[in-house]
This record gives sequence, structure tokens and C-alpha cells, in this order.
Amino acid sequence: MNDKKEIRNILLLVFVIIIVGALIIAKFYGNNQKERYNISVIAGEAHAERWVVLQQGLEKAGNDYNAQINFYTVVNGKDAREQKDLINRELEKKVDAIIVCAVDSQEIQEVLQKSERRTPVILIETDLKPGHLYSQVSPDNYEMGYHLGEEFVRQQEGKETTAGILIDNDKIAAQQERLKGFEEALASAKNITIKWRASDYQSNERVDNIIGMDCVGTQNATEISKVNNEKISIYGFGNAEANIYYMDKGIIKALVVPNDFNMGYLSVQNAVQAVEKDMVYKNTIVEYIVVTGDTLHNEENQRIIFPLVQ
Amino acid sequence: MTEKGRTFYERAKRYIGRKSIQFTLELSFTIVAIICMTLIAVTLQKKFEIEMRETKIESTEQVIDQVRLNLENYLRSMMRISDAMYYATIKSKDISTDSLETEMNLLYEANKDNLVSVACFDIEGNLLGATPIDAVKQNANIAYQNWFVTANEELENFHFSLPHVQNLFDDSSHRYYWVISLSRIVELTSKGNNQRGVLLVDMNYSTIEQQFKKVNANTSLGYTYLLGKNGEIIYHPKQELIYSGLLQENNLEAMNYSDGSYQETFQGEKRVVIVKTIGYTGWKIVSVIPNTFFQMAVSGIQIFALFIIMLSVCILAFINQFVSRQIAKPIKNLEDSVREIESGNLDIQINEGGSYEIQELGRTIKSMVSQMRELMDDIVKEQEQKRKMELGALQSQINPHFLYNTLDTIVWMIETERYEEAITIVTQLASLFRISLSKGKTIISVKDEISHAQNYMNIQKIRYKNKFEVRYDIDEEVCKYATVKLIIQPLLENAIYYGMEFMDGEGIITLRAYMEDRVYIEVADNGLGIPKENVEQLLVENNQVQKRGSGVGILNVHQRIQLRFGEAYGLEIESEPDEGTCARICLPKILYEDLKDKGGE
Repeated sequence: MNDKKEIRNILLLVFVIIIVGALIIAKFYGNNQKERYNISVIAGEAHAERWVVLQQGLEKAGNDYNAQINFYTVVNGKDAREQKDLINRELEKKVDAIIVCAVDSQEIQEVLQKSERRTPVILIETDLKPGHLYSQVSPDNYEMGYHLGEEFVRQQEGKETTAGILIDNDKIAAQQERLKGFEEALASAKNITIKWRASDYQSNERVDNIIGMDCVGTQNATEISKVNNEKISIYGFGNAEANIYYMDKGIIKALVVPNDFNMGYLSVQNAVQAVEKDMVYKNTIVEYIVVTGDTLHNEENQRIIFPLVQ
Repeated sequence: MTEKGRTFYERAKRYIGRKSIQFTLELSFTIVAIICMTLIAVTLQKKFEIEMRETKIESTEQVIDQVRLNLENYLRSMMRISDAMYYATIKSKDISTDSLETEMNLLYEANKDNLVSVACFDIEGNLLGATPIDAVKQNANIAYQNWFVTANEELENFHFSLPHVQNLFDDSSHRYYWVISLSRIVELTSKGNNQRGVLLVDMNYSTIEQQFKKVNANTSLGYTYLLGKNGEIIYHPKQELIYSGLLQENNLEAMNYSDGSYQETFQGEKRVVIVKTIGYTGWKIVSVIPNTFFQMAVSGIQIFALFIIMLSVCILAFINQFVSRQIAKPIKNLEDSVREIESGNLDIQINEGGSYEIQELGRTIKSMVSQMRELMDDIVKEQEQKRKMELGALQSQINPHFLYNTLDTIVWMIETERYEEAITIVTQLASLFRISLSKGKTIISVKDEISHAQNYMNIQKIRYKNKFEVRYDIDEEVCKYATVKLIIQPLLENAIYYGMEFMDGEGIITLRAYMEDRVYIEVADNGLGIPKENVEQLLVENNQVQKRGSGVGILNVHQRIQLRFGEAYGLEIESEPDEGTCARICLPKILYEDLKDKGGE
């Protein structure tokens, strides 16, 4: 009978609806139980205080975006090989995304370009060549250098003075950019003589001021100054607690502190967005502050300089 | 209704109209079931959501109430430390001679977990005593620090600061602590003179942080943050993001709320905000539950409900199918039976299942069919009888006795050279047989029937040598009506046999044809008559009255008339002993012409 067939069709339709419904539910339910993202962060040279705030930002974003953050540092920041191996290893592990703070911008870029895997890569702090393939989260390094230079010039008040610049690792594009900015700010200040630019203080001529181009360099400069008990003014970058302490002590005269927490947080956010194929900003600029002994304990500065979580 | 809607309605109606009962029932049952289930589900879901929401708000309120209690206890214990320090130590000592260290250390040791430091300064900001570190940084500028200034502004009160980084002591371990400063003005005694000082208890910010972290660990309750009395954020689970501008919080709005729960929309997100104020400080604990949390909480139930609904609809569809089949099947069977009957099969069994109405219908159809069957049987029987009767009638015409006697008479006439008479009788006989046969027709005109009777009587008169007289009284009008053939002759035969036998030339047989509302043909004799009881038996089948003559009695005549024209017509017999008998044929007024046109039958 025709009607019987039709009844069967209707029952079939009901079943199909149920099955489709079940599938939708399963999908919905599955989405609820979203799997954890696996994100590897490969930072630069291991250092007690260098990565603390960055890590806090990473962890926080990891919590917020349900991501497992694997944090790695390299033992020797001067050699790109170790970091290359780490990157390749993580890519092999098929993590969802990797976040890299390159120790050698050029070489790391080559490694990443050679990689056939389409794993999203987020670069932090450092800047690769313009037109790069990767999303980047970093402060404006040139501007940071320039502002430090300005503060340096301001503090010298036209006095004749000498300075040495410590570049911990000149293969890092970020440090080169900072240096460029810094030197540009000094260009018109005839009273300041740059005696040397080096990665090591030991062999160099004594100067009135040492400028460190990164957190570690600044710390090293301070240690040197303290050990030698010399009256050297230090300028530099980074909010390692030792740096703050010596700024309190008056040894460090000015610090440029990028918001590492935001850098960590935004890098994970961008990584998750990249995994989800959402739109990702190619270049995310992180803010920074310039602090001196006087402004160190400002309410606003405190929030960026001192990590809240203890 | 719009044109479109109406067209759809019409189309649906037409579609349904074409379908079987079972299909229509099933479809409508299923649709109704789905609609009902959906309505129930939506209602329950809404109700559940509201209940869920209330429960959740209530439980959150309980949780933050607990937090408030803990926080109040903590703050109170800090105030107690401050009090203990002030009343038990500072008041009783002369700072110019006595040290505060010992007591301070004791207090600090006892509350180390919640404290960062305890310190006492004179009104210029010089350190009088501090624990655990008592070396103040050179550039600390104590007199300008916030906690110091506010303590000086309101002398009587405790002052709780906002969280800040402690900027007091030269800690060679490079540690910096986030603290909340509890400061108050104290009366110091120095060399017997009273002077003012500031007592500072730096509370560990992480104690408060821990409290809130615990609450915020349960993310299903939204999140909870702490506001200062001017709406500044003291703790927020995403404090760093707020500080660096990546995130906003509605804290300035929340500051104006008094205790209770509120519905608000912040950055396009609807959410419930629960506020509790902490005693003394005016701080506010704010708990935020985005509305999506409630929806998420019910989504599990939703899925379950959806599943149940689908299952129920499925089961209902099956039940519907069963029920509608139960209803529709007897109708369907009945329809099949009727269709079978329609095709001519009257012998099938009619189903009488189903509900009362359908059973009744079935029964009615069944009795109808059985009546039909009886009628059909009757028709068959009648036809058969008719055939038999006609055969009988025909036979009566070629009764061998009559023929033999007549032929014998003719022979005798010829032998005695009475040729004229012989010719007459042969002519009459020929006419008699011609009408008898009538080309096989059963209906002839009254005129032919009467001439047949006359032929017969003429022959009989010759045979009986005019032992009786025949009179004809025929209304000419009657002649054109139709009659069953050979009905008068048997009556005449009877009249001759029974009526004239014992009449010696005085017998009279009268054949009368006339009409009133019907056509009547009477055969009357003046013979002996028939006893009354016999008269009644004459027209009944299987009568015991002995037959003679043609052997085909008047019963045959009666039955043939009735078979052809119905029960209302036939034969009537009146008889008076010694007076005579009258047999009256009663026929309907049907013109022979009319019947002939219709084929004669």
C-alpha cells in the first residue's frame, strides 16, 4: 500500500532526525569538552629572573584559554644550535603551536622557514625581517632604545661623560633595534662619548656609564659595578628583582621595562587564535615603561614592574 | 490568513483527504505528540533554568559570605595585632630608653604567615622599631608615603591602604612584597613627653589573594573580586590584564551597589553581580556570574531532555502507529469486504471487529448482505418456478387426453361424413395451438387469451354435444390489456369437468371480462359448487384436492399471475354449493402495447 510506504518513510524521517540530533548533541558536547591546546614556549638563555614575569603571563593565558604551556629555555644563549634542536623537537612532537624568543634571529628564521609543518609560530620580543611569515608579539624595540637614550641624555645634563654599551647577544634583532634607537637618541648629545660596544665588560676601558641592551646585560653590568665597587651608573632594560633593587639603591639610573606579562599572555592568545584559524594580528605591540629611581614606586609603574603573584 | 497560508492549508487538506484513515491518524497523532513534547520540554527547561539560576546565585552568595567572614576575621586579627602592639607595648614604654623590638618580634613570629612587617615611626617618619628587618632604605621618603599621610589625616581610625609594593626596608635578598598597610596614629612617650607616631602593620597581600584564589578556583561560579571603598580593584583574578588595559571590569559601577544581587550588562554581556560589603573597611566583594554560565549549566540537562524527548517521540510514533492501526484496521477490513461484495461475491465472511460503531456497521452490512443473498435466492427460485409453471401450462395445452379425444372426435366426424363440423373443429384446434404457442411469449393480449378460450370452448362444445351453454360477456376495452397466457382455459376446463358433469343441458358457463381499477376475467358456472373448506384449499400449494382433467390446476394459474404481476393479483374463487362457482382472474391494468414495446416480457 502506498500509505504504508509513506508511514515507513515518516518513521524513517523520525529516526533520521533523532540520529542527526544525536550527532549535533555529540558535537555540541564534544565542543564543550574542548581538548587542551598544547603550546610550547622556547625562550632564550636560562636565567633566574629573566623569564619570571613572562611565564606568569603565559601561565595565566594558559589557564584562560585551556592551554598546556611547556616552557623551555636554552643553556647557552650564544649558540643557536640548541634552540634550533629544541624547535625541531617540538615541531616533531606535533604541538599545537610554538612560541619562540629567538637567540639568533637570522638562523632561527631559517629553521622555521625550512620546517614543512604548518604549526603556528608566534615570535616574542624579537623581530625578524619585515614581511615575515609569523605573528609577532613584542614591544617596539627601537622606541624603547630611543627612550632610554633620551633619559640617559637628560640625566647627564650636558656633563662630559663616557659610556660603554653591553650587548649580551648581537644576533638578536631586538637588541640591535634597541641599540639603533639608543644611539639615535644620543646622536645630538656631544657631551657623551661612547667608548665601546661589547658583549663583555672585562677587557674594556673604564667608563662612567654602562648601558645594558637587555635584562641580563643590565644585571651583569650591575654585578660588575658592585664587585669592583666603582661609581658607575647603569642604564638598561628589564624588571629582574635585582635590577629593581639596585635601582632602589641608586646604582641603576634608568630602566626600560617592557610589559612581559602582556607579552606572555598575548602570545598564547595569538597562538590559540592561530590554532583556531581566527584572525591573528601579524604584529602585536606590547607597551613598556621608562622608570627612574623617583618613579619606581608609582602606583602605575608598580603594577608593571612587580609581578603580583609571589 | 494570507493567500500563501490559505493555499498551503488547502493543499494540506487535499493531501490529507487523499490519504487513508490510518495515515491521517498517525500523522496527526505524531504532530500533536511532537508539539506537546516540545512545549513541555521548553516549559520545564525555562523553569529549570530559573531554578538553577536562583540556586546558583544562592550558593554563590553563601560562598562569598564565607569569604567576607574570613576576610573580616583576618582584618580584625590584624587590628588586634595593632591594638596589642599599641596598648600592651607602645603605651607602656618610653621610646627614648626602651626598645620595642622584643615585643614586636614576638607578635611578628606569632603571625608570620599573614604579616610582612610591623613597624613604628615617629611623626617625622623616623623609624622607632621594626621587624623582621629594621633597616630603612635611604630613599624611602616615609613621611610622604600614602599610609603615613592618611593615618595623619584621621587620627582616631585604623587605615587600610590599597595593595602596594612595600617600599621601606633594605632587603638584601632583593625581595619586594605586595602589602596592604594597616596604619594608625599612636601616642608615644619620649622622655616623659607625649608625642605622636605612626604604627604600621603591613599585611601580606597574598593572604587575601589566596582567599580569593580558592573561591575563583571553582570557575563554575563565575569569578569574584574585591573592591576598595572608592572602587579601586584590590584583587581580581585577571588583575594584571586589567592593569595593563587588556581587560576592563565594571568596578566603578559595582562600587555603587549595596549588598544584594543585580542583573547588569557589561560590554554587551549580560551577567549577574552579587555584592557583599566587608565591615569597617568599606571594601566590597563582588561576584560576577555571566548569564552564559547558567545556560551552560543547563546545557547538560538540555541534552538529556532533548534525548528524552526524541525517545518519547519515537515511542509515541510507534504507539500512534499501533493505535491508529487498531482503529483503522477494522474499517479497512470492512472496506475490503464491501469491495468484495461490490465485485459480486456475496459469500465472503464480513469482519465485525473494532470499536462498537464499526461492529454495528459490520453487522448491518452483514445482515444487508444476507438479505441480498436471500433475495437473490428468491429470484432464482422464482425464475425456476416460472419456467416450471410455463412448461406445465404448455403441457396442459397438449394434454394427450384432450388431444386424443379431440382427434377421436374429428375421426368420428369424418367417418360420419360430417365434414363441415370436422373442418370447424380442426380450425379451432389450429387456432388454439397457435395462441398456445404465441411465438414463445408468456404475455399476450386479453383479446388473444379470450379467443383461445373461445377456441377451446368451441371444441369442447362439439365434443360434449352442447351439453352446456357458454355465454360471453366481454368488455371490448379490456381486450387491449395484457395478460399471462393460458389462464382462462384451465378455469374453463375445471368448470366443464366439475360444473357441467351432472348438468343435463342446463349448465351455463359464463366468461366475463370487465375492468374497474383492475382487469377482471371471470369464469362462472352454475354447477354443484365446491364446499367452502375446499375453496380455501384450492389456492394453497400441496392441496389435497384431487386433480383431474389437464392435471394442471387452477393453482398453476394463480401462481403464474402472482409471479408475473405480484402478490396483489391472482385468482379468487367464490363458490356456493348448488349455486355454482365463480373463478375471478384479477390483473393489473397494463396495456399490451406497452409491454409489447418493451419486449413482451
